[in-house]
Amino acid sequence: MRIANLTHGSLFMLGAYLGVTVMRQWPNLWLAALAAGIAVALFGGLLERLILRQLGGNVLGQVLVTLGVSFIIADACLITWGGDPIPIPTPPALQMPVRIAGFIFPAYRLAVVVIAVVVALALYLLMERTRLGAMIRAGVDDPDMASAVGIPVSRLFSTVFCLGAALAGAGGVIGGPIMSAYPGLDADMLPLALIVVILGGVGSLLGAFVGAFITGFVYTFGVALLPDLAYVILFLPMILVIAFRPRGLFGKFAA
Amino acid sequence: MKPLEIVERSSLVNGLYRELQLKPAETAIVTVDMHRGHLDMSVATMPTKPEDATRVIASARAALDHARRLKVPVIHVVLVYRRLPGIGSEGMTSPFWKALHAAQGELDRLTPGRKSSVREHNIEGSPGTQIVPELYRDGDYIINNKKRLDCFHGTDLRQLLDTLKVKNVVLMGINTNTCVLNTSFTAFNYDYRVVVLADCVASMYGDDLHVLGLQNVARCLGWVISNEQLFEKLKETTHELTAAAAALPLRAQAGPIRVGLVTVKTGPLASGGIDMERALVQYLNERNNAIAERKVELIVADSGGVPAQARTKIQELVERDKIHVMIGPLDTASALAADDYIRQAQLLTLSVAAADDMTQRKPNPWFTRGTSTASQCAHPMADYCYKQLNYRRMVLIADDIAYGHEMCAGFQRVFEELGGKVVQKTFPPLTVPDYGTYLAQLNPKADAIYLGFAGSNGFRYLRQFNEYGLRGKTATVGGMTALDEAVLRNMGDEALGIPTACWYSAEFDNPINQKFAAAFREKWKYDPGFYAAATYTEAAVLEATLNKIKGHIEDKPAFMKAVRSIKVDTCRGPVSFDQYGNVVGNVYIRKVVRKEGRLVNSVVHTYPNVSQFWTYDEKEFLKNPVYSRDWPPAKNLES
Repeated sequence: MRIANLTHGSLFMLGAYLGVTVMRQWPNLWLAALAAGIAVALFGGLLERLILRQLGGNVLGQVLVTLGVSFIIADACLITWGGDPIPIPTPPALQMPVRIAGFIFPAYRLAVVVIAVVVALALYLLMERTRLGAMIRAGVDDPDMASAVGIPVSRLFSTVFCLGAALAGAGGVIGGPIMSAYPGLDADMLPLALIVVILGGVGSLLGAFVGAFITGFVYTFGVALLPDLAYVILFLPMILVIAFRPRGLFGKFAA
Repeated sequence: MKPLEIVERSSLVNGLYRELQLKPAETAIVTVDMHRGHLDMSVATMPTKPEDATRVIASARAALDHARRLKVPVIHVVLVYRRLPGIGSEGMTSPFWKALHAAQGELDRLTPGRKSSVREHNIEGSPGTQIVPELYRDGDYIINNKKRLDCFHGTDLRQLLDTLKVKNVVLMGINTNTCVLNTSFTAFNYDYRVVVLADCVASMYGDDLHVLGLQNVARCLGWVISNEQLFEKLKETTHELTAAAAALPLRAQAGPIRVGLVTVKTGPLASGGIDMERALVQYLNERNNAIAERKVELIVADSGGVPAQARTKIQELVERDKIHVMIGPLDTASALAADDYIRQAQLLTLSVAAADDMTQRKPNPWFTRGTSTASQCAHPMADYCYKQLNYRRMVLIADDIAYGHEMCAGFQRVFEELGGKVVQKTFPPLTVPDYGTYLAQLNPKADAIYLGFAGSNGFRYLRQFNEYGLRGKTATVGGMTALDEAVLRNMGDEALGIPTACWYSAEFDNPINQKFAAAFREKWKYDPGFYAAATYTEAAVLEATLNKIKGHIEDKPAFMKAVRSIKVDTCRGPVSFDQYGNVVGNVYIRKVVRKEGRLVNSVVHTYPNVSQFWTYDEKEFLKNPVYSRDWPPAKNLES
């Protein structure tokens, strides 16, 4: 794999918008997330097969192309769904805030946390405990050798890319009730994804997990305690990691 | 010596002025030594007074720009000396100048009180020989072998004038009493009509000789007129042509008025930007694309909301599309980025951007604003919160950009001066996707929260506010863009009952707005909001101003003067302007209600004719620093 992909924010936004469209027809968030996930996965597959495949190993090319594609997606969304923010309704069962140990907390946000944990766990099991996961890891570590022993590396990578896109697309819908779908959502989300990956280390699931935790905590507490530094605080852990551990906390390759 | 009085000859001068005719096709402007050697204090070897240089450059530039638009040729005549071996500067062969250097120290020669030197003056290749860059444009003619006081002497000026079939020589430059006067004499001798532009000449020898030069021309050999009189004379003849050219209903010979709209059609700000275009197109269509009896051509540019791109697009509009007037740009950052270019190009600007200081401490003479400053609607909102809603303790939250800071600062100043307390002030980054952290920290003991958001942020904030179960616990009120019609149409009950202050509401009830809002809704299926009303208002301002100056938009100073004097009824109510070019108009307190199934901002209270200075004294107001994150200081914060 090792693809520098900058379309993740756009896939997230595309998912959110597709979710909006699905929900106008069938107002069920989970159905919309599933549908958007599948649609974005197909889109991701095409992107990988038709474009990124041609640029194997050319990191600069990948960065430029994916950045360009993200612009195209952004404007296509603007043309299709307009410039106004579109709300995505919260499932009725999760609309009420809940009270835990004296703190008021929106039920839906708790549900999102649970979903995130489940997805992380599922990914971990997939990568570490299944034959598919073993083949993926083999393919990433040494593609030539993996091909030689009969692993269909090329098809496997397409599948992985589709899966990533699917998660981004479904994530857009699931994040929708909190963030809504609006032009610029892509640019708001992409830096977060990049920071998490760079912090955690490229190619490491555990790294992404830990990176996301650190980013989330540092950001939330940072803006609460040092509101004037809201912009800086998000990037601070990343800068420290790049300075002292360029591979990221758990990375296998230099970022 | 007893002081002489200048002889009163105004009847002669006035009579001559009536006789003066300047057909653009028979006129040329000759600039006399408008080079850095006189006018740029950093390199000048024979400097004028610095204030004279500033005045002359600014006026000359206006006159030249005007002339070029009318295809009047511009000829720059510049003195340049060779340095000859054994002799030095060619200037030093003059016995008078040689004597001057022999007799006098450098502080006591031709320019009283300032250093000057003929010996070092305008040697070939020195920076002094360059024409002042603001005054030169491609297509101008240059004659740079003038050696003495007369522009004709030893140069091909006469030949060039005759080739161009010029009969009227309009002179400007340095110095009134020597080179300009001498050139006037020679032009007179050759039977040209001689005109000297009083605004564009000066003398380094002293004001008395400057007056002498002008009097000499005006009473003995030609005309001394102001820039405005020049524009008037050049126009008169154009008008004669019109009458002759026949009864066209439009002032067609003057060409269409080209209006550039700088808006945003891509990216996060696109929603408002597209509304700006739709409303402006509607306004022009309602008038068959003609105002003040001239056709109007609309050219739309998309800045993407990126300041650098906005600047490039504006430059393109001016230099390629030759627009006369710009409406826009949409956002404050773009307006600030374009500020110096607007000044440089003297671009008539009808802006919708809110940055306070563009019409306060750093007013741009070519900039007017028919919408409001960031704080203009926040002042009355604070008044309303304190006096009508009886809030005493408030939380302010706004985007972390100048717009948010200025709005909150204005609110805070008025609210605290009335006796209220701002107990918390928060500025989340503009692009924060999730307000959870900020909501968790809200001061629970406040009466209300003031939302100073722009774009979709107010919308997202309120949704998350409800999600945290805060609705009904703390009241919310908003600034002019927090619950704009553009976001309202996608909102639900969470917005009901929230009061906001803005200079417009689609529900505002005057005949113009009833017609505008109904037609807009008919066509686009939603209510016009802040941005749509902004261009619709600016277009009305443009039309009223052009009517006042009879469609002559080419006369920029007259346009800017006229804008400040109009009073026009628009979709936002009556509008006039203060001396800084900022609007004085109504501010409405609106409350979100449901009407015919959709949410609207229903007007509940009107503050009439609100100025950007609220009820404060203008001078006192401007002595304070501009509103910001930290000014006025918040003394009542509780963490």
